[in-house]
Amino acid sequence: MFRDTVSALCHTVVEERCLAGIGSAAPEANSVVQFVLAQHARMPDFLRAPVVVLTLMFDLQCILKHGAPFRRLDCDQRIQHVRDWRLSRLGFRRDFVRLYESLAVLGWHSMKERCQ
Amino acid sequence: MAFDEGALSVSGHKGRHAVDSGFRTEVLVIGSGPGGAITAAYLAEAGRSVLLVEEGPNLALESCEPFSLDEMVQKYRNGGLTPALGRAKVAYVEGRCVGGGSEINSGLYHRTPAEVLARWGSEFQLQAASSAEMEAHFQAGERDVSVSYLPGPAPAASLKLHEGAVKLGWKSMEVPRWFRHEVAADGTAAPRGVRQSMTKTFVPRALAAGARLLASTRVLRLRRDGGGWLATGERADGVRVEIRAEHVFVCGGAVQTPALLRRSGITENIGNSLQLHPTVKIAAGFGEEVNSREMGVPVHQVKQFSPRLSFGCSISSAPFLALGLIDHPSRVEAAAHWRRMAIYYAMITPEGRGTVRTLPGFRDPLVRYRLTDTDLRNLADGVRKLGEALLAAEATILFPAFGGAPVIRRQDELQRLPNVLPAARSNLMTIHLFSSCPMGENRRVCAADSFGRVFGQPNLYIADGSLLCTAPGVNPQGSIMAFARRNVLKFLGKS
Ligand SMILES: Cc1cc2nc3c(=O)[nH]c(=O)nc-3n(C[C@H](O)[C@H](O)[C@H](O)COP(=O)(O)OP(=O)(O)OC[C@H]3O[C@@H](n4cnc5c(N)ncnc54)[C@H](O)[C@@H]3O)c2cc1C
Repeated sequence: MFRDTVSALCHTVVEERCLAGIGSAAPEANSVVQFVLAQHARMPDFLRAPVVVLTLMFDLQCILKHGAPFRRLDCDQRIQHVRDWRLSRLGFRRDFVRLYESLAVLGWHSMKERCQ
Repeated sequence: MAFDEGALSVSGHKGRHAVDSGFRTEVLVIGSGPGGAITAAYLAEAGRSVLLVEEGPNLALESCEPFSLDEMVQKYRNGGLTPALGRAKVAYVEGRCVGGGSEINSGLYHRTPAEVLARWGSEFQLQAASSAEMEAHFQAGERDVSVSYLPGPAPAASLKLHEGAVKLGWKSMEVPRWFRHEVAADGTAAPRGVRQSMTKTFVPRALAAGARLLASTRVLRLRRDGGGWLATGERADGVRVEIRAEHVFVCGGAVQTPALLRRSGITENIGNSLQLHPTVKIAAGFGEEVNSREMGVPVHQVKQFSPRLSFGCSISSAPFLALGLIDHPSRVEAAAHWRRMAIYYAMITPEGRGTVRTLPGFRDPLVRYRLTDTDLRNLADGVRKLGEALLAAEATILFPAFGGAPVIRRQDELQRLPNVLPAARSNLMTIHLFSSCPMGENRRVCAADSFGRVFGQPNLYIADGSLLCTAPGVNPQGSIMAFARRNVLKFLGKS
């Protein structure tokens, strides 16, 4: 569930922040997902579990609003959910989105640069 | 130069819980960054038996592109995901490889400013460290790592900041680097060359003089053992290691040194006064191209408001630029124009302090850092002044990198920036950490004496950035190198 949510989140960030609706994210976005998961495994050990818990919260919170977890939503609904957390009054939600956005954006542009 | 890692490998296959207790040395140096590498080289050249232990892998400087994702993965601690927690989080970066931070840094060199040394003398009772007394150590370091100015023009983005500052009548300068320059082939490209990191200088020097290197091995704890020390550690393959040494130099850097000492039960003034240089960034767009894949390291710094504020240009590759625009989600297209853009930073010398603590059951230390209101005001002032210089250099658009920041196009729009950086949306980072175990004779605040000897612990020394009494307000490696040389020569009775 964690991996699927990270995957859905990375694809959403790439779609919104890197492609802006132009072109298709796969298959490069899959490499971004691998990079983000590997970075999660490298982060300080005391942060890993809290990040997993937050990721699951992020996923499951959508059930209340949309009737399905984040990973099952369509692209527009996912983008909206990410925006809600990005603009949230709660700092931990903003930090959560920033973490994944930073990793996915850095990963995407680095991979693109490498391909060129 | 082939490294000596294999020479000390455990003979025969050992299981995951195998213990290799065969190491004995006169001096154990833990950590091979600038502090550790210099200490090991001088000790070995003086004929001491030295074992240099490094947690990270032994990789050539050329093992990856500088400032790339590969470098983050190979050489940064925790892949670069290390936050100092507090009301404003500060993302920090440390090297974790043979050579430590020197393998991943920009190589910008400063001596410790005279007024900073004077303050350390009066507040921390640091002895024998006036500018005059440090002169020989600065000179030796500059010679050993070839500190030099660019032989040709600086990168365009670096010159832009300089241009803007000069127009405003502000002090701006090219900062020299530890770098061996090669002459440009045809005069069109920036001169290439080799950064004089520790794996290019002091690590090979130490090995040539007989020091042994044990890479991919983390020291976990230190324990008194008769008159000397027993260090227990773990290799990357899980084999436990025991090392007996008469003298130990802890050189793990400003976060890992206090973490190791505290884990070993040594806590007096250890890890209570971490300092750093928080920076906030601006991505700036220009009417012409200022960036290219070959841009290299920008070298200009604006010192008009130093030590309170310093400005410079950051590494501005397309991936870093995209990252710099993360607080402007509606500007996705801007990153496509990266050749006309560069990232700049405003750095403060803060009042704030932090702590390093170990957490039971976890490997990684908890780093906390508290910015004061003055620090947040200075950061906001830094953004505004940096914006002023960039607009004076004819930047056409500025994207300050903090949450909710306005996009700026004209000088009058700088008024829209806040007077205090919003702590919770500040997006700060740093690559400069120090002062977690300050040196000096003031026992109230110092962890070690004026030459790095840990108070109350015979034959135990610190030799890295942790010793710097306060934030120096300039890039710190020059200070770390000079103090490492000074202190090891004192140990050798040669000062
Ligand atoms: C991206 C970046 C750019 C920078 N640019 C500049 C610049 O231009 N100019 C400048 O002056 N400074 C710069 N710096 C800062 C500079 O690199 C550091 O101040 C310097 O490297 C600190 O030296 P140190 O010896 O204190 O520790 P480090 O360089 O951090 O070395 C400590 C070493 O000890 C190892 N270690 C830690 N704990 C253990 C343990 N328990 N067992 C075994 N090994 C251990 C670590 O893995 C590490 O390799 C930069 C830093 C970064 C990250």
